[in-house]
Amino acid sequence: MLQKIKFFGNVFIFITSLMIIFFLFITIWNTFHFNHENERSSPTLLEESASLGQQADFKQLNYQDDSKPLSSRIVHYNINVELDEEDKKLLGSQKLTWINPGEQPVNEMYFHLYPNAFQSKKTSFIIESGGSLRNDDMKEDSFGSMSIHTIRLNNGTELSQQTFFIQPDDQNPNDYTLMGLKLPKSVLPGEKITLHMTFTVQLPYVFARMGYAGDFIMAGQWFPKVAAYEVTGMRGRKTEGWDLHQYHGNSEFYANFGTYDVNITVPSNYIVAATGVEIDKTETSMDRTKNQSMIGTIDHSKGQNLQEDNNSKNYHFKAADVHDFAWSASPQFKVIEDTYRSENNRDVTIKLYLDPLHSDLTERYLYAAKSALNNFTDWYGEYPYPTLSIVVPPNGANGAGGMEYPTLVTSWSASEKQKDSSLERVIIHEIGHQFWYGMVASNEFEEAWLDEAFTSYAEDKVMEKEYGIRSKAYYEASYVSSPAPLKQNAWEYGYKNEYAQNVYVRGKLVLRDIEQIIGTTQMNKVLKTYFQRWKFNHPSTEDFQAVLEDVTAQEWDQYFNTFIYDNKMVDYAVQSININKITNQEQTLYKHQVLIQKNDAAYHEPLSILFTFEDGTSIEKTWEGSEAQKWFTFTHTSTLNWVVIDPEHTMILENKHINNFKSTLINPETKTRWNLVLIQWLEAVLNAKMW
Amino acid sequence: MIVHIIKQGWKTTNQNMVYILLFSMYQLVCGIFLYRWIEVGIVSISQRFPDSNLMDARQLFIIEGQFLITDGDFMLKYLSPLLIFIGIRWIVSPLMNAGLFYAIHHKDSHSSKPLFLQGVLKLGSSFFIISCIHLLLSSFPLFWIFSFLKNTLESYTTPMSLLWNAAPILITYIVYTWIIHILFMYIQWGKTTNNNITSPIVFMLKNIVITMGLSLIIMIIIGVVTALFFSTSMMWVGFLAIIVNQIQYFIRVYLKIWEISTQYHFWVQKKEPQ
Repeated sequence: MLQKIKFFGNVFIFITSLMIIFFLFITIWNTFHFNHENERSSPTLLEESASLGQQADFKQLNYQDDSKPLSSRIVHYNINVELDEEDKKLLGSQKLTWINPGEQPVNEMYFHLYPNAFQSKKTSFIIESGGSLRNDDMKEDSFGSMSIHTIRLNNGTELSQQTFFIQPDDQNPNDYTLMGLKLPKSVLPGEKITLHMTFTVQLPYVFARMGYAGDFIMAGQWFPKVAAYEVTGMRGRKTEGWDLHQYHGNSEFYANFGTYDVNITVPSNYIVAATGVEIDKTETSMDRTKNQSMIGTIDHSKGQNLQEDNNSKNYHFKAADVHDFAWSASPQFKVIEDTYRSENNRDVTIKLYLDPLHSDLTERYLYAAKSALNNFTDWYGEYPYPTLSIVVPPNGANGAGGMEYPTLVTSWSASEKQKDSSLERVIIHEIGHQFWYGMVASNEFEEAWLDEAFTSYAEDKVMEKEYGIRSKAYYEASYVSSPAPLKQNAWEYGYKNEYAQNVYVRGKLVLRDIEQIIGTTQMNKVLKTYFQRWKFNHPSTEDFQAVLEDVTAQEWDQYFNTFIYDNKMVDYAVQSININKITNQEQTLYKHQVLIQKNDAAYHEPLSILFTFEDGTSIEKTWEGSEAQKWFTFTHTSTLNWVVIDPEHTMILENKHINNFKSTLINPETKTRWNLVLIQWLEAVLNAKMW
Repeated sequence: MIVHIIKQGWKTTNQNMVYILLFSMYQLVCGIFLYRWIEVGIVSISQRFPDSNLMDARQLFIIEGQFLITDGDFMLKYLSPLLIFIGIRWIVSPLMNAGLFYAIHHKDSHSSKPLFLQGVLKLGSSFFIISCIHLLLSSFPLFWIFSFLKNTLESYTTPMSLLWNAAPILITYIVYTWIIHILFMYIQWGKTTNNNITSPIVFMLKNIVITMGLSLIIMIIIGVVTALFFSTSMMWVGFLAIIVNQIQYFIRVYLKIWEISTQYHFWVQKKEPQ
């Protein structure tokens, strides 16, 4: 007994010491090889009293043709912003007027402080995205944030102490992207509230839509933005209220329509591209101290080091019937203006802000933009804005690329390589967004497919019509390895790729499948009706289904429940093949039994199955495909070589082509060789550890 | 001296031919299972490899095949027979060791009962516990190694830098498991010969150069033989390759028992004068 205790005692001491040594080794190794994550504190609300800048009173926009508003226009922003080029900061002040569109008094307002997504490595955005978006990674130590300094009512009441942060989606206490504000007095239905706010944005190095790259600035999601307010009945809402979500790794945006009047001050060598119409441009030799008073007393200790006679330029933009405002600035932009003219619609000024590297590609960009506008206005409806700006980010700023904002889109960043059709594709895609994201404006937090899938579908149509590039649906279906429901909160898609697989690809394939069922003419009618009925009105998936049912005069519940509200795909498999030899006096025959199985949702048409025999002959059979499985039994003079379901790949939503085929022929030599090689490897590992 | 010990080990190995045959038979049966398991996999994969005349079907096969490899459920379904098989082998392994070690040590006794079974009964449980600890010790660093490799894979810039970062850790781990392997062989010998495990640990660490040297010599021989078999099965296909594949079980068992006997003689000889 004593022996045993001694035995285990020794073993225990031995194990512990070995573990400690190993642990120490790994720890020392890691310390030398990895920098530990930097943590940042929460954004501070400066307590010092700040004098509000001189602000021009908000005027009804002197916007061309704004006699008849196209949208509800419940928010009005009047923003002054200055770019601090050296510190990559935006110093801003905004006057926001919000009109209560509902029938209930509103006691709290909510704001998206999107730049706070980049504030630490613990924000929901960074945790979910792993610090990268698409193929662009967050630069180490390049954090971004937004600080609100003052919030005042018209009468001067300071409200910045009444703010709080909420995390309705994941309760992540380190996420400061959604700010609430308790109002001293309710905003009654139809009444408005005006808030004067000052804020500072620290831009991160751009990897996810906003930020800087060298002297290039992409200001998207850059101002304190009031959250979307939904009235009863809107998107099936039972009770009115705010639609509140944080900024997620997988989600874009949603906001109410309104007007924007924005003054952007940049160093005089900068050129600014922005949403809306450029009203005027003034170049002044700005006095730094005077400028400060406009911004409010923010910590400008660094700014004092700037030259006093710093030359700056002021750009003035206005936009109406849009739900966001973005701008971009760079001293390198080469600006090219062109006009898109068509018989039935108003002219659109296309402003191309090119990176010099792509100077020789002007025509390609412009042609892509015009063909997109031409087709989309033809298919869906008018593009009602007077301008469309295209920003080509410089090499290294691809994080800003391929993004849509109202009347402003970004292409992929300029690079030597990018000469293939992805240049046109991204322009057409982002202009497609002007219709679905920009005007129809569905909720990208909760049903992103209504924007991305529709845009991808429309993009493919233009690519095919204008460039003759027809995407092969069955290839794309193969990439849908993790199907998920289409109407689903963006951040609830499993891993990074699942969002793109479903929201872009699977959603687009579902639209193509619907087109296959109802025909192209009907589909065009459906999309046109949907656009016309819902532009500027934030529809839901159910609203789209209603349009589809109206136009086609048939019921779509089952289809939507299968492919849109559920994660079904079409999947048929050749399950088994049995061959029996039958010999009679005259000849030898082979009796075949082939089992075809339905593993997932059914295809809407009978499917074709091709049987190919040893003697080179083949027979084709069709199957209704609605039952769970079917045995095909037949006799033939030769043996079956292989069976394939749907050889022409007509089933758009079939994503497992691998089991559509089954062969009876296997090369015995290959089989043995692979077997022996694999067995050697396995045995080598196993033998080191056991008998 | 080393040569002498290796020679003695060789002699003992030959004296225990019956166990070599027994163990080879056992490994052969395991080999047949493995062969069948791999065959099922290869057959089911090649049955799905489309005919070259079918439009784009081969590209689709490659795309979807990659997804299947990364799909956890699919892999589990396919790998579970192998995992169960390895589990059984792992449980049986210490019992076989117990019998073998006991038989080698008591080869001169004239017991009426078979030595191997006596060994399994007497030492089986302790050998099983020792083998559990062995597994624990050799696998716990994997936890850090995996997280380290994951970090390295995510952050590496060039293949060379990946190699420079990962190689030291991997080599350290291999050397570590090798030392543990020899150490536990001595612990098992200590348990068999004088029911004590402290002295073999001390002994092994004191004589680490010789013990590892002995192991290294036989490891090199095993390595050369394995490489020969490996290249044979790459080049020849057919009946001959399968025959060669079956013979290798015998040779592997032979070499492994040689290593065990060699370490036994070293242990017994050095220990006795004390």
